[in-house]
Amino acid sequence: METLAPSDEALCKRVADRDGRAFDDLVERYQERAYRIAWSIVRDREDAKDCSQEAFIRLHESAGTFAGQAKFSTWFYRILVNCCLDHQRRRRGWRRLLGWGGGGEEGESDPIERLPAPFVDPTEALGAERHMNQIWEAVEELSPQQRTAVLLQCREELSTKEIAAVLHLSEATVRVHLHRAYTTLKRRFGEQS
Amino acid sequence: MNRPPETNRPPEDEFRDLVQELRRTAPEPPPIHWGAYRAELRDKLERRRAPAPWTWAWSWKSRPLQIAVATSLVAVLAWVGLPGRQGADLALVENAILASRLDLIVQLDVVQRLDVLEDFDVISRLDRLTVNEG
Repeated sequence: METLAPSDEALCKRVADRDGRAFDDLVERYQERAYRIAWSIVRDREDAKDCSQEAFIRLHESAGTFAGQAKFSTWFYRILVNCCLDHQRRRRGWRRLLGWGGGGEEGESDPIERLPAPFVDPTEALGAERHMNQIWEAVEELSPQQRTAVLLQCREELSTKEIAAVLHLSEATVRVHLHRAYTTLKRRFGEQS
Repeated sequence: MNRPPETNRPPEDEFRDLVQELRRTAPEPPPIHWGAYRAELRDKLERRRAPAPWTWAWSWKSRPLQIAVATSLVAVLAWVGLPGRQGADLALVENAILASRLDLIVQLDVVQRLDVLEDFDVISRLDRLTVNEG
């Protein structure tokens, strides 16, 4: 007879009781999503690995504080997104200190910030791929919160309500972020095509 | 109060084509080895759990007396350094240090209620009055 797999919430409760096996199960369930979301935000393989692992460590440390009022995934995404945004803030701070990105618009004078995400091989410049690159390059230039909201909606297919819970914002604010992000993308995309 | 126009309609409805396009074309992150990822995570977790040796050596729990003496010294120096306390009698500092060694600080709440310091203040002012008038 097959037994039902325990829910994320049940596993989290067991993690709070220091059940190592439950923690391993949660990591296996969420590792790919965590890494993908982290990479979408920080756009670097090693940093994405570090941020997602840091989120799992924080999950391990604070599993006892999960009240079960929200879905586990929402709670965990919040930890993860905070790790990524903290990482970006720290990185920006260091760059400012080193004099890379002093004035002007965010990312304007920063050579790393201007790098596009490592997309598929650019030599295969098929029309569809170029199109894809252009649209995602435009996503890279959004503000961190707008970009995160777009990624959570488009990649992870989270509802506005869930995004609001993850970003600790009101639903109306998330809608404003998304609306502005999509308007910018549409305008940029219209200019390019 | 009117809501901003962008909050009236869900953006995913208003920009349906764009959202679908983004969903369809979302780039994949570079692949990683999941076994190595989990091993690295376990390693980080272990390191986080075990406190560094110097943390224990300097832990306040392991040196309560030293911490108490140091704290009282800092408090005394801060009190001496307060504005208007310049040139305070060194005997007062010495007394305070002795008091901390003799565990008098344990009775701090009682000492505070005695308002001893205020009395000293009054006495010194009385002395000055006498000098001025005489």
